[in-house]
Amino acid sequence: MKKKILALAIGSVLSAGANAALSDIIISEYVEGSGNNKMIELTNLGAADYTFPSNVTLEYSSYHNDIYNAAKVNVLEGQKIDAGKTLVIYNGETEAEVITAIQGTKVAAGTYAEAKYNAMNYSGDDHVALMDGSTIVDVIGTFGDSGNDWGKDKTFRRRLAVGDASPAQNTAFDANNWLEEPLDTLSGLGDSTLAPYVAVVVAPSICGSETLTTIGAIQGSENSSLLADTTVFVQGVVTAVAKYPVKGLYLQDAVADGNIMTSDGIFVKTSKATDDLIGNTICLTSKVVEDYGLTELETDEWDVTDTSSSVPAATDITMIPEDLGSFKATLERYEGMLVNLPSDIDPATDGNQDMRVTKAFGFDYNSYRNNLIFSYLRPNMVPTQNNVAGSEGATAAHEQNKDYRLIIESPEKAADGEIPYYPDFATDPAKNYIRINDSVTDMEGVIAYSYGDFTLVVTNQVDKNNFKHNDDRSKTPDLSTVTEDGEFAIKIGTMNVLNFFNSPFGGDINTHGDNRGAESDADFQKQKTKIVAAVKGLNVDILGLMEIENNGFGSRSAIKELVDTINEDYYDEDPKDAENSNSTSNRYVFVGYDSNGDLVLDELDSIGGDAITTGLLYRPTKVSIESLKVIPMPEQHAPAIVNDSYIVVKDSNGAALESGDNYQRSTLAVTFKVNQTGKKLTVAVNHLKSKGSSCWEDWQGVEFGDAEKWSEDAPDLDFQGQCEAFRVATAVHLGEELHKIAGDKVVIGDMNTYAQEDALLVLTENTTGKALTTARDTFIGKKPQFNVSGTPVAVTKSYGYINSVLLKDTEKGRLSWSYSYNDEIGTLDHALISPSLKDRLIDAVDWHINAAESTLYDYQSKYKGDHVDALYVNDAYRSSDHDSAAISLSYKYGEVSDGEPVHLVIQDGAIKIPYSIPGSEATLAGDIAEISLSSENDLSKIVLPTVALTEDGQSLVDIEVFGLKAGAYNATMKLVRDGQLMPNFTTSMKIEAAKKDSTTPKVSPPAPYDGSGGGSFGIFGLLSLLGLGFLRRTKA
Amino acid sequence: MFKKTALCIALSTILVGISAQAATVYEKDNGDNLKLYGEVGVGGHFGADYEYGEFYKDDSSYIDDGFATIGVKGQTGSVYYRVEIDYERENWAYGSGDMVTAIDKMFIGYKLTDTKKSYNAIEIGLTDTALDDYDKFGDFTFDTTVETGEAGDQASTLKYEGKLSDFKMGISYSYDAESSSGSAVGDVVNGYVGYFSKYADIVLGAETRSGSEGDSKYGEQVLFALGARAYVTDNLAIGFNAYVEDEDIAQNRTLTDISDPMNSVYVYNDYQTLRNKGGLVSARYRFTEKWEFTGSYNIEAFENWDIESAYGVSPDKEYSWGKERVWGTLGVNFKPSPSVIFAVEGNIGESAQDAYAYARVYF
Repeated sequence: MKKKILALAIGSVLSAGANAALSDIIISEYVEGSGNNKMIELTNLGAADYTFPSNVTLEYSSYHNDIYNAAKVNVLEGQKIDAGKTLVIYNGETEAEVITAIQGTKVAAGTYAEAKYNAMNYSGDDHVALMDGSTIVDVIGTFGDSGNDWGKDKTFRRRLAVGDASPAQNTAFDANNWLEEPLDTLSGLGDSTLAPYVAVVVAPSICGSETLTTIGAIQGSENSSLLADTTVFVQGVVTAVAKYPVKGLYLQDAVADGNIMTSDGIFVKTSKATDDLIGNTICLTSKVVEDYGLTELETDEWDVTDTSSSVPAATDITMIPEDLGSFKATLERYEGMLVNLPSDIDPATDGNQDMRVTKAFGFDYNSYRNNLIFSYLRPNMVPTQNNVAGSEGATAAHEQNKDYRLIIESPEKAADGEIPYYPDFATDPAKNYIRINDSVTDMEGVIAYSYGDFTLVVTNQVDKNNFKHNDDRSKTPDLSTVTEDGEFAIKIGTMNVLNFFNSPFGGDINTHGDNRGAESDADFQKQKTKIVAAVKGLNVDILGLMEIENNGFGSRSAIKELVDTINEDYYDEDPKDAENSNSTSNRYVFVGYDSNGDLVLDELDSIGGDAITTGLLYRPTKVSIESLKVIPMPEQHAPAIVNDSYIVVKDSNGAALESGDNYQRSTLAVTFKVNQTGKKLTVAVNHLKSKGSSCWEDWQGVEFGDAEKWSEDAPDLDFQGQCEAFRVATAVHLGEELHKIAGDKVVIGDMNTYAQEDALLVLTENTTGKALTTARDTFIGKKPQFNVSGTPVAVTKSYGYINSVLLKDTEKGRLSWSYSYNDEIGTLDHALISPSLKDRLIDAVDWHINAAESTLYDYQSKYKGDHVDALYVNDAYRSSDHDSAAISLSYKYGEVSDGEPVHLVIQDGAIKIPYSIPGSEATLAGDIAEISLSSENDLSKIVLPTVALTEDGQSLVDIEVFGLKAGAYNATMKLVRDGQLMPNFTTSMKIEAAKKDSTTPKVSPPAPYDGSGGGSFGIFGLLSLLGLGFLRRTKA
Repeated sequence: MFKKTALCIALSTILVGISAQAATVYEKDNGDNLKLYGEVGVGGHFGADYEYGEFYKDDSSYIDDGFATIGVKGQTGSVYYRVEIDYERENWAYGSGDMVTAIDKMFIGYKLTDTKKSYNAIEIGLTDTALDDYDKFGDFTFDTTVETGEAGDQASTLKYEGKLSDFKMGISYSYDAESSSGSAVGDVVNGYVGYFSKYADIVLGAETRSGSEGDSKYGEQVLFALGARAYVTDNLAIGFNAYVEDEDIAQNRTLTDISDPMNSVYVYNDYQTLRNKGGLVSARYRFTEKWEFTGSYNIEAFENWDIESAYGVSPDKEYSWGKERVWGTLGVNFKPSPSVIFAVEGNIGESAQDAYAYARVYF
């Protein structure tokens, strides 16, 4: 060996004057020892001395850290290696005795304190390379192999080449060229002697002449392999290499066995597979392992037996009768196999059975990464949406959801803002959207199984043609407002605005809590723009809001900022354009509540004591506010949850797991007069306690033992989430309080209750007679809600409200849903109507602008990588997490009840008096409608027009009267035909002409006496009371 | 205001009656007359307890109950009239605690018939409502027992009273009546029917009101009262008095006007019916002409006290006596002359004070 160096030396002498070259320099030793003892030895194989120029560096790690000296200069620069000699570069903090032991020339790298990331701090999974600029000259280790500790606690010495020749420089690491030594081996450092050449022994072929087992035989037709724990030799084509859900490769028989009952593919668990294997045929041996239901092989070694093979065509997933309708049984037959999602999975059944998106692309809290989830046949409905909570039906629905689920993963973790297998998504997200209930076809991938769920690891690229939008985007809700002649529609909606907070961005301070909304002004402006687009798209006359910041009603309140921004888009003041979408007639006003009773509506007022609150907007052109009531909702004051030693159990954050004290937001109930009629309508806006909260009842039956800390979730056996008993108490209180308000009622809002859950059964109808129970220790303010002992109460009464959206969707054969949680959808946002409104209900719909869409479309900038700008569009989609519901009610012009006057709003100096022509006799075009008025008001300036009917059978004439002042009038309308009065058409009505509600809300809408028992008796009533009245009321 | 009249009536049961002491200004042969009368009283409550809601301050030692009245009454033919001015301490709950002057009565009456067997009269003006005359009937004590919460004196009252043989009845209608604190209660109708005999008397009363229609917390109300006395011996009488009342009280109010900062205007809503009831038995023993002893046993229950009621106080504000209170009184009256009385009345149990002591002179 020494001979070789000698030969080189001689050679250098013989070629005296020859120029030393970088091509003669190699890395000859690598030490990653104890502590900071790290050294690299370079050897000059040439015949001339070599001095390093500034562009030749020593680098390490995937960050290409150049190693500097203490002066933060390239540690090699200016260093000289004599011909045939070495240069040792050592970590600046190497132990002194180790440094002393290094022979020959040595140079210290800078310490971390001196050179930071340019200190010599490779850690065992980093490559170390001699670089000429950005070109590798010689290297040990593999670039980017982070986590693979090939060189940790080891010394490597360079071997001589075959025939004891000098080794060539390596631009890629080959372990065969190195002698591996144990930790802290320092021999040879500074000595240019290289390690002896060892011929590379070619390992025998893994499969050799062993008998091969087909993958089909391993998988078998049972759920578990009959060959479990048997060692097999398998050859197949690599169809995929994936990190998720488990790191490994997928192997498939090159020739399928033709047996539909057996999978031709199998998962091989390994961390060594690389993408270049895909399409190759490999042979390996492993025990057959049953890993929690997944049949797999486990090995890091294989022989590539054919590089010319290719991935077989994907097989269509097909349900067969033997699956007995179980989609899991279907997928089990394809476990580990490359499959395709066809347009018809079950050919034996009529129609196309396909895969549906059941969770939009976004964060999956189970796997902690972005993904999609599909479901067979239909999106997964929350079990309690269509089945009474706790019923067998609900359990069956839950089981079916589990059975139909297919998680969609990419082989590598998706980069922020991207769907790896759908590149067009990031290019133009606004056009390439994926919505819940989309049908997905011709997506290919391998079937994996982990933690009880099947996963499709996608292997092909898809585009928008692979997705069919069964419920496509719509700019406005598909809400019918078609009425009979002589009637008009009033539209009412609910919208959860997902923490619309303006206090950090110039709004009034919030005295009830911290910001939960946008984290920057730029994001807030985006949020506002999207919410405004949603309100405009929803286009209702009365809109209930949830999750708006509770920072009062001052000039800088969140609700004022929202309404002002909405109204900016309604600018056309021309009366003739009143029906146009940009007309000022569409402007909203918010309902203010003077909570502190100072008769000033300002930032000091609020509704309830939470950081967020409910709110209400309305169009003064359509309705006029009569009164409002803020209804405090129940509080729970139960004992804290303790363990067996009576120590309060803490959650993982150190807070009480369940303190027993629970609160919820107040309901805002506003009574309106419907303009053009004498009818009143009360709209109550609600936001009930959330399912993700915690209440005393949730922890009953949990055995804490002596545990003082508890990080598990509360059990949820009936799928209602947490606090359902508390919501039942709330529903009872809401029902009772609304009962005190006479007339038609609409209960809207985020009830945090799916359609067949307890609280909704209380408000609507408990058709199955389910036993419903309230939470314990509920209070209204300081008063116990039901009894002083706080005992839970069985609720046997239902309040009879009608779930309008469910009613209409059922008629239309559609699914109702407004919210997506994990991969299930259901309705949390309801519009319940009192039975008195049933005949008025024209239509009721959910508007799927939010729950159906990916969270990537929301206003936030974070977690979107380089695609923030592309993903944000100033439209309504994903303006919130909840979908809105909207309903339409029909009213007849001039219709009244209980002798109430018709409420007519003076606009542009005139009122339109609806002459609803009575009688069954047909009117004729050319008939003349006349009007006369009587009043205590001055009538002298009033202009009373006559109006000719324009068509036969016309039943309504709007008579526009100018010059009317606010006040009470009696109007009589007549019809004259050919100069003759037609008495059958004469009608009269009481009118209450009023100014339109100001778009600046009044301090406090008047709260008229509600007639609840404060009195209204005359003398005779009083006298009769003396005789009979004593028995007039019996309290429950 | 009604507290005082209650006391007057109570006293009238003890004393011979105010007419006996009146100074006659003139009296004509035809019976027309004008008389001056009045009273001076000193004394008060010892060991008063504010929690019971009967006094203006929480002072366990002494609350003055000084009182003076002066009045004239007269008759001209069948028409009679009366004006009475009180000077009294506003020592009741929410009162000022100051001595104030108030016109207590101001009415004109007309006797329809006035014979020994039959008496029929109507009165108009500020006067006792009909039931006020008998709301304490059956109670022989002074001031510290169950009180029936009827309307008391009211302005704008039209009252009829009649007597036929051993039966008496009265009925009154008061327009825009007010509570003792001056809040609107609406129009009030009350009345009574009584039977009086040598051995026993019994009076049944009733009252109802129209309510304030949102102007105050007071809504509609219906009250029934029953009083009875039995004269066991010449010296011993026992009595019974009870009432039950359903009163609508607003649970909610909204401020609507603060233009007068001293007098904010609210609209009251959500009236709910609360039931109040109370009763007592009492006895009087006349030891001598000048000395007599009285005693009573009282039970009272207001729904507002009941934490179990949806409209009662919240548990954190529960009254010390719970949803009902029971107490007794024992009193001594010393009457050195027919127009002078010294009285001491001690309380035991859940009572609003420890004792009541008083001296009064009538003229």
